[in-house]
Amino acid sequence: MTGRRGFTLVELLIALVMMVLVAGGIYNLMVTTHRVSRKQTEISNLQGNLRGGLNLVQSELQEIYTDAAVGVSDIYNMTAASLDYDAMRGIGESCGLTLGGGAVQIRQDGYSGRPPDGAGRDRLKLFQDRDTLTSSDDVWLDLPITGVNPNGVCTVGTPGPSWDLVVPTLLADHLIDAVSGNPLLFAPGPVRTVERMELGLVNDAGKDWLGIRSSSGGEATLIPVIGPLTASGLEFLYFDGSDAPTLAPSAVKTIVVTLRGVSAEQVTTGLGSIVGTPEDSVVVRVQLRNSR
Amino acid sequence: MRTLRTDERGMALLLAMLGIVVIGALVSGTFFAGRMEMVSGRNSVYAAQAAEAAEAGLAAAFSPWDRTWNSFPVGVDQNLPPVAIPGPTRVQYTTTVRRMQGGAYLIRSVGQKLDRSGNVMATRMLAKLGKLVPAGTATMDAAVTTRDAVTVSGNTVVDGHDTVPSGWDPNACGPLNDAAGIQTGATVTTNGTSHVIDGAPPTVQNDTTVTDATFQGPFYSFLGSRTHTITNSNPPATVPTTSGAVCNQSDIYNWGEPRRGGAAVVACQDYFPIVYFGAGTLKLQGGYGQGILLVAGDLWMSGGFEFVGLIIVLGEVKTSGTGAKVTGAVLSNNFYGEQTTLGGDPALRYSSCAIGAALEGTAAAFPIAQRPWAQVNLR
Repeated sequence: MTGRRGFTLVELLIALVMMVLVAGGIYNLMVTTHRVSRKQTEISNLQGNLRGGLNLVQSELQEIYTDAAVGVSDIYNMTAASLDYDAMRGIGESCGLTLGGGAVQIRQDGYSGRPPDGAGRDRLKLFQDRDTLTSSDDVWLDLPITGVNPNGVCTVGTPGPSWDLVVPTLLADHLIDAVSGNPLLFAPGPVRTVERMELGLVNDAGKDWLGIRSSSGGEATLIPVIGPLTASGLEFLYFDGSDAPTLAPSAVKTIVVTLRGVSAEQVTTGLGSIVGTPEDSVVVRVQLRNSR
Repeated sequence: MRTLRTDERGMALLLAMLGIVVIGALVSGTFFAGRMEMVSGRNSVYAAQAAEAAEAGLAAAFSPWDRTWNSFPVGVDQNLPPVAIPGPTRVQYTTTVRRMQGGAYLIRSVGQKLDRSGNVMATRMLAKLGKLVPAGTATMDAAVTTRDAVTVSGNTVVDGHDTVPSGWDPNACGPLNDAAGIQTGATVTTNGTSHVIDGAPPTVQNDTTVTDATFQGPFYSFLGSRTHTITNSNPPATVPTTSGAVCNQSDIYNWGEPRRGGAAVVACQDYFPIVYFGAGTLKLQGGYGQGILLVAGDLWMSGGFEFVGLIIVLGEVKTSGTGAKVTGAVLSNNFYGEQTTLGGDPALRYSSCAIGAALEGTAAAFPIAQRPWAQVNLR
């Protein structure tokens, strides 16, 4: 067909330039989208990490007991960068007490928390009630657990599965008042288990992390669990009942914990190819629910 | 002239579709990320609401304490019905009460956030350890304690030997420790030879440790927790009553059931009210009950009235006629200058078991002093 004609060179060049421009725009858009997506993912991961840290810190610390009036505290050592304390691990009731070998049975049904550990990780808190009509003389006996039989059967109350704890330091005068003959410990009675823990900063592969260790469980170094954090990305502040800073463990009623996180990977943070590691922080104010 | 070809193929549609796909992906990604953030935030709110509901359950358990829980069987979970918190948030708590020995309690509260269909969106469980604390404080060293003189006549029996109330399980009582028969800041005068005053020792007279505070301290410490206020100075005979199968605690003349076996009203055996009578003379001429009786005026007992527990009178105590029996302790302040007159054939016997039961039955639980609170995870 003689009437047919092709594209002119100019038309082709114009089309080519337009296609390059459009393709370039699309490429730019996709690169930007990818960068934004990566950045958002990193920030999301960072915030998720910090939220996890917040939950961990809160659940670890909120059951700490302190009492300024008698100078007693579950906190052993406290600094701006670390905290050494007793963490609650379980609550339930006893279902048998015997002096032979120092045995305390804990009813498994209804017990809340991690099963007691008999390898030294956990200690037993046994509620001692000297006078059942008054509260001022009540104490929690603090007794090391040296063994656990997980297949025991409760000897008091409804028979049921029990953990039979070996508690050698349970003595006769813990059970019976030598003068009045009144019982001091009751079964069923309240029991708790605690574990000595430490929270602090730990460096792993060149980055700082929130670390935790069970000192009673024999863990020598902090285990990184939340991070990475910025340098000095963990801070503890301690406040007493009047909301004034305090250095006395027994006076602490509130612990303010700040976690400053940093993204694990470098991402583009600005225009062009500027890269960096986004940072974010959370602050949690932990009210010690068992402080007096 | 150029002719327009209709079969030429362009790229506009392709480019437009590509653009739509890219924009769609961006919008979807943004929407997805936003939705994830929203869901995450909403879940956090739900969890917080559930935790607050659980806290509300704990608070409600202790304030006010339900004294019927004082008699829950030891070592058995008592599941209370769910309580919905008023308002549009659709949250509820369910409380479980577990009584232990020695008056200790473990209260567990499960807070739940529900959706419109009642499905559970979030659950949190908290616990608190509590302990029964008596409504007041009292120290009883005798079956009868008075500030002023006591006159004993007729066939009166006053016995300080520690006794277990008739029909009660001695295993449920603590160790028995005998007390004095009569302890007074003045003297004891006896008329006739038919009376019996016994105890370890039978009498303690001119005891300077007996002061107004001996009576008024306990009186006012219990007064704030009184269950019933009696205004009728000649009340009808007090007997335990029920509403259905439940002890009727709204009946001010139901003072609990101290009896055991036979026709005893079992539902009221664990009910120990604190009954208060104001100024004037309260004349009890029959009936029976248990708990703590506070009389700001005088108390006259006759006609076979029986009481197990603690009686504290700021005025005088007078017995006459037949059968008045008190097992526990009687404190008479004689604040208005009268003497205590024990005539007829009353039997006033010291019982640490009865006193203890009255103190425990009228007690309320409070969170224990150390480490009461726990965040609970069910195994």
